[in-house]
Amino acid sequence: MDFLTRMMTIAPKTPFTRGVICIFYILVLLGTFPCPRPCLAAFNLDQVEAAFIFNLTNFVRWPDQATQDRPFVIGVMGNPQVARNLQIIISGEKIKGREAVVKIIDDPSEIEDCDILFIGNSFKGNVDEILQLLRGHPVLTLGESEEFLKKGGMVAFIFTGKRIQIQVSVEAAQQEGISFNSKLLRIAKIYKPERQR
Amino acid sequence: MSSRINVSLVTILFALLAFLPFALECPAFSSQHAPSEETLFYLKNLSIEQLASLEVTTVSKTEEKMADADAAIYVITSEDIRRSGLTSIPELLRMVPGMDVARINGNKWAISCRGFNAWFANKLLVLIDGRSVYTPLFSGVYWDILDTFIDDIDRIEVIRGPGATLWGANAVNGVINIITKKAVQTQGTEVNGGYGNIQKGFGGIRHGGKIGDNLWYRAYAKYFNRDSFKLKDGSDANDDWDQGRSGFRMDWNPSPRDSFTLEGDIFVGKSYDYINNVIYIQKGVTKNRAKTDVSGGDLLGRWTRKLSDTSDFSLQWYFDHSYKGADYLEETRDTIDIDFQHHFHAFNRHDVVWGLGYRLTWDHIPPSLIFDFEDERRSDNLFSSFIQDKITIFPNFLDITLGTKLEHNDYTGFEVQPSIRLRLKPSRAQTFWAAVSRAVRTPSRADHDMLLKLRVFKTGVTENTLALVGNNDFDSEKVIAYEAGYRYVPERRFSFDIATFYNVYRDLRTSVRKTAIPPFTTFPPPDSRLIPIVIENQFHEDSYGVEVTGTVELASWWKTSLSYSWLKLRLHSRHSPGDSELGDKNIPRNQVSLKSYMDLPYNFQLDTLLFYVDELEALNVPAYTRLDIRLGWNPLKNLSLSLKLENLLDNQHPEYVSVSGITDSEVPRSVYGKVTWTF
Repeated sequence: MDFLTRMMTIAPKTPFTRGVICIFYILVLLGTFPCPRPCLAAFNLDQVEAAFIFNLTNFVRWPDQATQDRPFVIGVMGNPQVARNLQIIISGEKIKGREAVVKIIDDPSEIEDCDILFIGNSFKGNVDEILQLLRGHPVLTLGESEEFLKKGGMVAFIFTGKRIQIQVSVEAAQQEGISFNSKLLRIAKIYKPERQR
Repeated sequence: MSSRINVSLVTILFALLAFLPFALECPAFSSQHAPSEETLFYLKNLSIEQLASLEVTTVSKTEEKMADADAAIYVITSEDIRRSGLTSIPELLRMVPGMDVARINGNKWAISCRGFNAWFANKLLVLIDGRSVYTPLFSGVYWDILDTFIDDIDRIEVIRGPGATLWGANAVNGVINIITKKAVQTQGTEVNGGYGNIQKGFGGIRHGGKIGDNLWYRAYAKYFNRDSFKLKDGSDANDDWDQGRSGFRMDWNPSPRDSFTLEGDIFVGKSYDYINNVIYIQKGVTKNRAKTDVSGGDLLGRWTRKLSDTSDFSLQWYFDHSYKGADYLEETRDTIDIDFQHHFHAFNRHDVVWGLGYRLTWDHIPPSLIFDFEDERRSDNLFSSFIQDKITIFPNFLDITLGTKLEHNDYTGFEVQPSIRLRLKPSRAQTFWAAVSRAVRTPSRADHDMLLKLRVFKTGVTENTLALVGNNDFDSEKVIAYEAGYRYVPERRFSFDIATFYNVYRDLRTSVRKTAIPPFTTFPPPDSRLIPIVIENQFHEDSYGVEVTGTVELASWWKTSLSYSWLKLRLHSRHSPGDSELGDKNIPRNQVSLKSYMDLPYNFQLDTLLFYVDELEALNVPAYTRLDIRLGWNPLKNLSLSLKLENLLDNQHPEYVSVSGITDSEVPRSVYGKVTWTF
């Protein structure tokens, strides 16, 4: 600051030049301050969803997760952008001590090999049929709407127009032996299926 | 005493400013565009609670760029292009708020914004994929030869106001940037064709494919034949035209860091006009229906290299050849342009872009019955450089952009065009911006070298020729523009944008009649005199106005948008009174446009465009309202049919009166049908 004060005193005396020099210093100095946080880009829905999927694995228990020796497979249908983002996120990472792999799934016959299956809203096929096929397989199913939970899905990322809200269907997960950590249940909204009859 | 107070004030200010950024929370990180990988690594390390509390957007990068811009920007998207059913680039510009698009006749447009409209409106810079289509002869745009395969246009970005820092001279009142899709976005084949009462047949084919792993290409060919408009009495104006065009684009990404683009076009066409220059009648030329032959081609290459996550450069060159030949004027022009741009982040908060450019243009304009240029051939050099620094003061809240362009042209030497822009984002959805910029319109060859004979008359034995004469001392026209705007884009379904400006122009072009002088060129013959009307910089002017746009998605199947603009010009003559094409009375004071896109059941679409354009008082052109309706139907996934009705509300109406020696005509009602098939 001493240097600055000296610079200011030796500056020409007209108010205008002093003002200009002032502004100049402010800009230059501000420009060299470190940013308080990384100045990152706007977060797109598909970016945050991908981060959520990766993060979620810390709060989910699969019945057979310790005994598996094959890679941990995250299948993605109907949202290639999320798949691409996930690929970047999981590169070099392990999930449940296993190598993690992202697969873009076109053919329903591949879904049983997944540990997680994400079905985006733009998926054109029959969601009911996919969920039916997964009966008896411990695959965590993720979707993007409450409708998805109604059909028997386990977790939904619901975009409220501002944030992503997680809804979980504990019941649907339990049926396949999948359980959620209590921390997740505190953050998430618990989906209660309407009792039939 | 007072200086001591000042010094301590400054010290306190610095201390405050130094700490403020640390105190500020910036959860949204909305403004800067860091590469997505960096974003993902950041997101990956957040806790699940933090993820759940993040503000998230579904807005695409283009939309975001538009919402975040610190200028009066408007983007015509590929959806707009498809759903408007408009078949030419100049007609598409009607959608831009405040853009004054007037048809002079069947094949000529007068297009400008924020005033000064004429056939060669000279204050707009137009680029297509980085290639300038601004002609240095009249410093306007030949809108008739600005074309491409319309469905391959990705978007048209229009910035109203001076965009001088980045874009170079002559972007005084606006920049129009036409961006075509990458070859990877246009894979497969599209065939289209149509017919109507004015559209006397048009059609095109485009094919895109892939060679190896990382080279994509496309090629197209198209043709159109458009019938003539109507004269005031309803008779045929005989201003029909046709044009054929073919082109290609290749994108090659040999490594994740490098991308190469090579693209080019060739075209050939002809159009007709009536010339109403008196000399034609006086010289006994009875056939005044002039045929204009146009042809040309261009080739552009670009290399972009990513140096790091925050730094990249691009090197672009192009060659452009054009020929325009009519009885009254023949112009052959070649242009070579090379540009280098480097962009990088520095000291965390500086986002710097700088560049260098060189352009060489040479032409051949032989004398005609009415035109006689000082030199038949001329070549001009243009050297340019620019630097722009976007400084983040408070991340995602306030930034300032300082920039200047320095260029050297052969007419006026060095020109400096600085600008300062300020952007404030109180929240992710809101942007306030303000800017002060200086821009210049450099002299065109016509301003400098032209001799245009208007009339011949005899006094005794002496033949007098009245002519518009260029001026070697003609200086650049200058503007200082003060702009401000506000934008609110809370989500996809609603947006609001307002921009205002106050422009102060100096040294605007005027034409001043001088006393007769003896011959000073080979023309006229010895016993004759020239009465010159000399092009000078005699006018000052200020203008102000406002442009507003609102977009509402009324339902998931119904999108609407409403724009309004208001404009006022005040002209001051420096001293001598003189004629001028400028002024307040030949611009539309009020303009309104309405867009409505409806998705109906059974894959039908009903799209409506409504334009209201105020009268041009000085030109005696009344206000008009134009209604366009398009009905589209996709019976199959890869087949679309459409019926387009243009100008439904009247039989015909004038939009402009030509003052340039070319007969104007009126826009009739028209209809055409179109089939598009992709496979």
